[in-house]
Amino acid sequence: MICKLNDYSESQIEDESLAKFLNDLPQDVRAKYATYLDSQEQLKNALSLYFNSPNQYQSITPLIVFNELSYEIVTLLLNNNELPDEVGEEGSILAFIRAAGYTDQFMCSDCYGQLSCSSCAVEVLQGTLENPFPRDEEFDMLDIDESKPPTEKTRLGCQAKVGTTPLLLKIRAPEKIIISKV
Amino acid sequence: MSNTIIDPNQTSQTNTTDASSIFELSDFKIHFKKPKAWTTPLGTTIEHHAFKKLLRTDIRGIFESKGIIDPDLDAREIVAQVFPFKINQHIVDQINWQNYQEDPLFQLTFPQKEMLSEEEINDVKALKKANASRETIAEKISKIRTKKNPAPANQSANRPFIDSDDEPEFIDGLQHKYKKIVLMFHKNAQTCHAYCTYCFRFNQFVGKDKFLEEDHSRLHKYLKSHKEVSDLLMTGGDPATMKADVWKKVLLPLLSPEFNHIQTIRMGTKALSYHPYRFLTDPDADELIGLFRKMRDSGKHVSIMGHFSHFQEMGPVTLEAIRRLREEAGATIRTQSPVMKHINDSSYVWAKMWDLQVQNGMIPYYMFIARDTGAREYFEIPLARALDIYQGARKQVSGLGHTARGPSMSCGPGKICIMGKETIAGEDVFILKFLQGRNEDWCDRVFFAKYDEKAAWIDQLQPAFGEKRFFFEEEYAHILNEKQKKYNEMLKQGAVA
Repeated sequence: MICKLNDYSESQIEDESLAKFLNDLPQDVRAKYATYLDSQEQLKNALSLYFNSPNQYQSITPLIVFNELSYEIVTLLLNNNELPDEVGEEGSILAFIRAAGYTDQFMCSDCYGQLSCSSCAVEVLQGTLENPFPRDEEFDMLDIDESKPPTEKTRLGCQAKVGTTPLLLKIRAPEKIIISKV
Repeated sequence: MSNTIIDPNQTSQTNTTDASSIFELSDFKIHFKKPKAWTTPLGTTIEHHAFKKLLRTDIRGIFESKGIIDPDLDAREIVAQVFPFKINQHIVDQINWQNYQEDPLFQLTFPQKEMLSEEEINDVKALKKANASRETIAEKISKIRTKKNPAPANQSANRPFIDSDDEPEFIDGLQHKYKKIVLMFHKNAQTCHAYCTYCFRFNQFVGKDKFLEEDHSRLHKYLKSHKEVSDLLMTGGDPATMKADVWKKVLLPLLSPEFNHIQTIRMGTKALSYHPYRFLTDPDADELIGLFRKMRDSGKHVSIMGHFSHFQEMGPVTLEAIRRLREEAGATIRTQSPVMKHINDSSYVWAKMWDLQVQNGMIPYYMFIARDTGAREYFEIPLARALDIYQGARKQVSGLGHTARGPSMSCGPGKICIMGKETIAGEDVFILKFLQGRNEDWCDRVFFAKYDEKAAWIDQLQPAFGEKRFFFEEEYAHILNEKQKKYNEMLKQGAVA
């Protein structure tokens, strides 16, 4: 489910558990997402049920991805028992995003998940990945995009695997324009 | 749809309202095309082998899986930090592990300790032993890499630009060095199915010197206004890693009349060797073959510039992919490779490779000299030796195998071929010839250098007959200077890539 944030006015997330989970999103984003959820009753109820008793729904992993550049949020409620095997590692964030039908327009992957670029980099704002520590080759790739210097929360969407805890992610907008060397 | 969510695993729950509904909260669904087995015309079935990359931290496991205790394992892992390493199971299966150290495909893909100096390896080992931080080791690795001439042949000087008054821009992902051909580095083609140990574009794969195009738009804009261009070379990385839907966006617009001057589409690839399933069983293989056929049927020539380093790469799956590209896509396959110590430095290997290529309908095209980059000391052979190998191989094959040009240095001024060694007026000389030149007038010009049995690159040669400079040197410096001035001017105008 995709939320184009600019289409919504601002309100407040009613559910306290969900509001707490979304706390790391910018205030305006959170407020617009709240209005969006009000318009999506099924999704709102599903999230509310999950966040109030997550232990009851262990095969479900909510994945909420905020794209800072396109100013959109994709919300997925994943079946973590059925791992898509492409693109990237089996069960990776990118694989789930692609399996749900979202293309490069939302989450870019220049190398089709081959761990040969960093175009699918995300910030893990909340939640624990199935593989919380990047392998060496992933770590090496994290800092190659000079326009988006990595933080401690940066991972590659093609390598980071969805686990059983809900994930809140951010796809960052470039911080600066890089002028190529002559 | 119910508002109640039920975990499908918790079957004991009594409320069974539409348990699957929570998974259907999606705007749309997509269906991935599945790979399928391929049947050859003779009825042999080739099962799909999904591409799975194996990286540096997999090296240890590969040796373990083969029951081998490799004495150089630690060094290999260090070398693989400096030069990018990636292979896949298909390549592992092609290697003769009984004698892996001598195996050409092992040498072609696996890091060798001699690719770095002993001192360089020991420096990194010492840092690791001292539990140095990841950043310290990365800094050391980066320093070593910088010493390996990571940006050879002035490639940045090949970058063209669109010089419009309102929006001047460099086009980072194109190269236009020779008049008739434009190279495109698409962002989706910046990796390969495996990396060659001697790769001259290794810096691209470690995240440095990225020159790439975000999409096809500037390519089309550039080609439209450059009617002198007849060939488009899709390169990378390996453009065979690019999916068919992206290929379509690049190629199909070229069928409109404004691109009539584009006669030939070339694809520079090693996928025929490294992942031949790309053209047979991959989910979009049929689409890609169909696209090439459409280009061909619409009057464009499709030329696959296949990189083959050794005849051992041409196994049955590769040969079937070759047959399909030729017969179904209507493509012509031309072959090329550098001549490299430890991999293919013998006339026998080249003769057998060219014979096999001709037999399977391919056209031997180039024998290159190792570029002055990367682990050159490990791979390079002197020009004199390369010439011996080339001439020795030609003697062993029929005229149809004589189409390979070389040995050729692809250097800043152009492609310079070593035509022979002779004694002229009492002086031993190399006879050299431009096969392509940064100035088109240089093409086919013959010139002479003092014979030097150790020289391995153009910058190690001296002009013969007492000349102080080769004929092109002054003009080449002038061309580069003019380019630099133009770039500076455009930067002042606010041009960005």
